[in-house]
Amino acid sequence: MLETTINGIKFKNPVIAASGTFGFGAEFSGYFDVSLLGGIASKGLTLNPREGNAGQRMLETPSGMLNSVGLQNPGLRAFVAEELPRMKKYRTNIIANLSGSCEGDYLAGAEILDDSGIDMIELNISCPNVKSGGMAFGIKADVAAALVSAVRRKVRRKPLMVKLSPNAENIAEMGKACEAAGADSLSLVNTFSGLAINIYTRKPFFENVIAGLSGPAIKPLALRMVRDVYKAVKIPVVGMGGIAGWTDAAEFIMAGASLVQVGTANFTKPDICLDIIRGLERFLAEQNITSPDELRGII
Amino acid sequence: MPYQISKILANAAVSSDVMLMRTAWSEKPKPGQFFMLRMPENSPVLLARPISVHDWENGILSLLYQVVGRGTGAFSRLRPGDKIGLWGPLGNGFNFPDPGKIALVGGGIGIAPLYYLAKNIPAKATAFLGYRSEPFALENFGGFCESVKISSESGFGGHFKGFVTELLEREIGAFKAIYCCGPTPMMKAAAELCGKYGVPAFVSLENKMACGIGACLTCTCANSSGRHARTCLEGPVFRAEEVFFDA
Repeated sequence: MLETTINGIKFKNPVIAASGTFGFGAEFSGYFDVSLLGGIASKGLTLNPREGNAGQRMLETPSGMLNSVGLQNPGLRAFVAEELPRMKKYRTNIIANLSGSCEGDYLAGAEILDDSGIDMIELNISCPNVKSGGMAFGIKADVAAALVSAVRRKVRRKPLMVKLSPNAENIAEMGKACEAAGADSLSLVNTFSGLAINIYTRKPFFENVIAGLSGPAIKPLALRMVRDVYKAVKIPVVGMGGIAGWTDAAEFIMAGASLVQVGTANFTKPDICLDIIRGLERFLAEQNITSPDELRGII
Repeated sequence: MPYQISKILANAAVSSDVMLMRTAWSEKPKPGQFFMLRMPENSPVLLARPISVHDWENGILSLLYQVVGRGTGAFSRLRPGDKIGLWGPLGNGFNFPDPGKIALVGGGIGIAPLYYLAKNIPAKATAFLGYRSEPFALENFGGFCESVKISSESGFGGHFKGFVTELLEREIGAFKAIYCCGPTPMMKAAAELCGKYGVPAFVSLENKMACGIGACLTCTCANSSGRHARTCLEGPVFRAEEVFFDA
């Protein structure tokens, strides 16, 4: 009933565990059968291993959390050699989240993933671009489009989904630019740039100063952006940002999302994705709806 | 074990800001492990809180926690019959020491996991328990320990006035290993003492975490391996010499 196909990939339901909140799946397998998910987006992967940021990495905020993990990951080669074979045992789609700090790293990473057993690439353009003084690739549409089109040339076999930053200057224009540059689908939103200050030390709470805000606090903002992008592009949109229950997921579908990703909520209850899948099933049955297609983009 | 919603059997203050919660949990945890606890529904507190195992007996889990913020504040208002959501047991826990005399060194709420350790190790340990002021949750330590030494920074009730590490230093040469949990400065001081006297030390760390199961990567600590270890999964118990206390 919940089956959805985008970019030629069939998802048994529209619920994907979001990158950076679900490890490589195994962390959650003791809590529910992760094969029941529509898909799993891997932890953000970079060409070379990264140890991530020093200092405090997380602060709870009203209905949300700030994180400054800094893309700690084992690197793409270790992912393909060690994590991916384990992930492939789950009967669900594996989406590799590709991150980088310069175009060369993204391109080398894209080539590795294009030759691997993953089902889809999610290109994270929220990373700071070392060459442009640390401003994220995903802020200016022309910068993002140049990266997407370069990555597109390396990605021949796998669908390429581009994950948009809500910090983009204009989210609809950003979506259109990435579509024109060759994206097969768009996922949004990544975390909002936030700040917390320790008033006693008179210093930023995080060593990196800024951190990413996620959780229910961002849901209305994310939902609005998903609708804006859905209306601006023709390619499928994958919605996320503060989804904490099945009603939130249904709202994102009505705002235009073909699939949804659940992030921070995985931390609050390890089997919450299953609650969301079951809730959507019940809702569709109650409403006599045979497919989420009937709800998509109705707002 | 899967996420469970469990009924609160007891939840009462043992000092001005420390509470003891009892709830049902069928599986026996290992000393030094912890649970993630959350208000099961409609809570303004988003994330669960890591709380270490203070005791487990016949399917009853006891959790000793300090009321410090919004999360533990919400727990403190729960009454018997209310529900709590939890998952666990989590973390590596303490490895049982080799035979030989060992010391348990706790500071403040850090005494919580040491009680369950004292109860489950084969030989009786010596407990060194340090408090800011009035001692709490002492009643059963004596039954499972050879002796219990108490310090109080305020000298409350005529107890030794000072830091628990001062008490430890008087006897440290007698121990094969120490097991330590408490505030970072206290664990750092204990680890330095152990380094000085060549006694192996194991410390149980506390860090802010979101998931407790190794996914969020927010509870990491820099250590001597050059890696960022996850407090929730590779820890919370580490060999003291691996830990960078100032990182």
